[in-house]
Amino acid sequence: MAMYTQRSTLTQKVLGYGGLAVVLLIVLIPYGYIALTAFKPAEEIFDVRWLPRAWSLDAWRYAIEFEQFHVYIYNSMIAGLGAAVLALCVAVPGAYVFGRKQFRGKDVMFYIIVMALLFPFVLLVVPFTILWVKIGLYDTMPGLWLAYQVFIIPFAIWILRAYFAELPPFLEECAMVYGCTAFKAFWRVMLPLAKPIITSLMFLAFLVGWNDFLFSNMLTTGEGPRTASVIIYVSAVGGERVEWDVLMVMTLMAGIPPVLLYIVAQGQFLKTFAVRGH
Amino acid sequence: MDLNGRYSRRDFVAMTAGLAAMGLTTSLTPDLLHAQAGSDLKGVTIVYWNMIGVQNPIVKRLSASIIKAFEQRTGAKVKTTWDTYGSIIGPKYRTNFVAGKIPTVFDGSNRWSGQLRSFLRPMNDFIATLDPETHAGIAWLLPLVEHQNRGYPDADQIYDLPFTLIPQAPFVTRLDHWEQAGLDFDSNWPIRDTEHLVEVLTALRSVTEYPYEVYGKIWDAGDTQLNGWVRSLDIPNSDFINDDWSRSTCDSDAWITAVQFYIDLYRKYGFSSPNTPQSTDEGAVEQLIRGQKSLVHADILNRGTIMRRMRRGIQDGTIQWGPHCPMAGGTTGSTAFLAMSSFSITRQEGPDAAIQEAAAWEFIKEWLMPENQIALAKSSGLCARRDLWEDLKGAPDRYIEAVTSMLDNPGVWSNHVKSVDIQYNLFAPHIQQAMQGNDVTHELRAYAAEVNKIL
Repeated sequence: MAMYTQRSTLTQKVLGYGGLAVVLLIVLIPYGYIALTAFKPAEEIFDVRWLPRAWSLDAWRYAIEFEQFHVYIYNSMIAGLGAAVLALCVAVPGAYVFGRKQFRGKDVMFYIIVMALLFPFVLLVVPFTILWVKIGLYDTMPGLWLAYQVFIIPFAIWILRAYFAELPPFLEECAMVYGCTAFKAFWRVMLPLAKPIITSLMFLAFLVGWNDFLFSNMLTTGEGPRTASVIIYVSAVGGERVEWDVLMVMTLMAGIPPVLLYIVAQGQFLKTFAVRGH
Repeated sequence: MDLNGRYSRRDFVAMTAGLAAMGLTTSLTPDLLHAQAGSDLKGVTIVYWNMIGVQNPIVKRLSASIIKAFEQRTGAKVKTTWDTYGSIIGPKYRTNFVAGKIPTVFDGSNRWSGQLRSFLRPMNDFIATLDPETHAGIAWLLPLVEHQNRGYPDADQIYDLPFTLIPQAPFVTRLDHWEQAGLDFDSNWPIRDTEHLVEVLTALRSVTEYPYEVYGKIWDAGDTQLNGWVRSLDIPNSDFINDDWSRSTCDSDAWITAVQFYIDLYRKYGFSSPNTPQSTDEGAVEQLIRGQKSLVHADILNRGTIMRRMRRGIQDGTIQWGPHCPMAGGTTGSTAFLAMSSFSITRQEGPDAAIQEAAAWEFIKEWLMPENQIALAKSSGLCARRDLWEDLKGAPDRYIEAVTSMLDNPGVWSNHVKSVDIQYNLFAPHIQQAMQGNDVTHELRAYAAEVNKIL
């Protein structure tokens, strides 16, 4: 019986790791091909083979030296971070109020905010463009931060409100018994408890700003803070041809920062799910 | 180039060396790009939105060098936005213009600028000041531009000045496939008419399963080879809309005959791949490079792709370009439509308006200089200046010979405010339906009815 269990465990392990390896390969093979294609000379782009016959840095030189793509990566970073910070400044207190406080019209207001998520954002680009030009936000980073909030704030309030609502009741009252004001109770008790989910939402908000194309393209020209996603479109795929090697280089460069950020913050993400599990 | 975008002489030499290595420069010299700096426009800043050739690294580098040369020659400053066709076809340009975010000068295809016409400044007075040589080189295009705008009361005003041309659409083929198929190239090239095309493709099918491609995707169904076939049958009905822009021409016999043949190449003869309803000439050229196609129609912007990925094929003559052919029985003598990349200047307001507009014109003149026209023609379509074409001939792939031979009496598409809908958005779905087996006449009549509704 013990032997049977041992065999079973071994089989399970082999199957488990085998399955994981297959999934990992499915995910990694396209990325690996992208990475290797970025080093192929233009003549070899369509050769269906893994390794280049002659390694080339031409596309990298073009992307970095001529296109200055790193500048747009930096712009994307600022766009994403700013969007995340701004969103949380609004969404965290908003969600806390919706989750913990009672007031007339609360549910109606909440659903109106969340309903914004159902609105097709593409309809907003024309009025946003006209308004942004008129009030001086066109071609500015704050203009991008504000535009992204159309999606981020309703989404963040929706998620955070449920989180705050599920925290044990009377936490604030207990804090206030120990001398906290209502604000201090929120700041010193509720916020630290919500840190994992706030970190997760911040990451998601950052990704919205990082990946956004619609507003970033419509609300900027070359005179403003164009982001990496716009430059990938403009420089590699948006015309009558696709420059595959340049596209691969830019895709790789644009993909690295979010991955690094995820690796740094993954401990907080795990805590989010752990807390939700309770 | 330093972080402020300034070019040093060393940068320039490095860039031109790269271009020269690719066979792109003959007379693009440092003397041109570092011409004596003028001070007549010092302190003037113009805003330029560029979309032509932005995705082609060679053309983009060339464009950047022309902009720098202009800045150094005149002392003016150019704020450049690199953009895409999608911005003028889609809502971006129109929305920005309405909102007041307007460049001083921009380029684009001059059949898409009708929607922006009220923002543009006519250039007739400027054109009249061109030096005689340049004027003579582009004068042949001005009646074509007027014809494109014939539906406007001020059609005689030139709002779009072409600087490069894209004759639609020459053939491009691989000689090695002809040899493998046992076809004699000299006696079969150029393709004489559509019957001859079918004969040649039938032979080439022994080399590749789908030797040719019919384009169904929205941007290529309405502006590649099909229009030339219609034109070879019936010039007055060859544009999508009639002479006074009051109705669609696409239910005419010429259209029905040409579209039927277009569909037959795919459905009856089987020369085109199963991907036909979504295929493009760019995709077909990529397949040609890989050896999966033998003979396709492609605009000459694709030459840049071939040059980057199959340079040896151009140099050793494996790649050959040839003129478009007429439909069998087509006797009009014309087989081509001419797409033009053009500059437009926007109307300026305020005390600096005149100097801004003058600076924009000076900028356009930079692109019409012989050296720049020749450099553009080697990487981004045929140059607008006809007087320079002879200098360009002689490349092993004979692309200049092919496209210039198509331009005796080319058609041009109307620059109607709804030209994008007429030529692309409404047209392609009906062609795709026909590709799926629907009746061609029925689809063309349905399309014509839709166009008639919006005219």
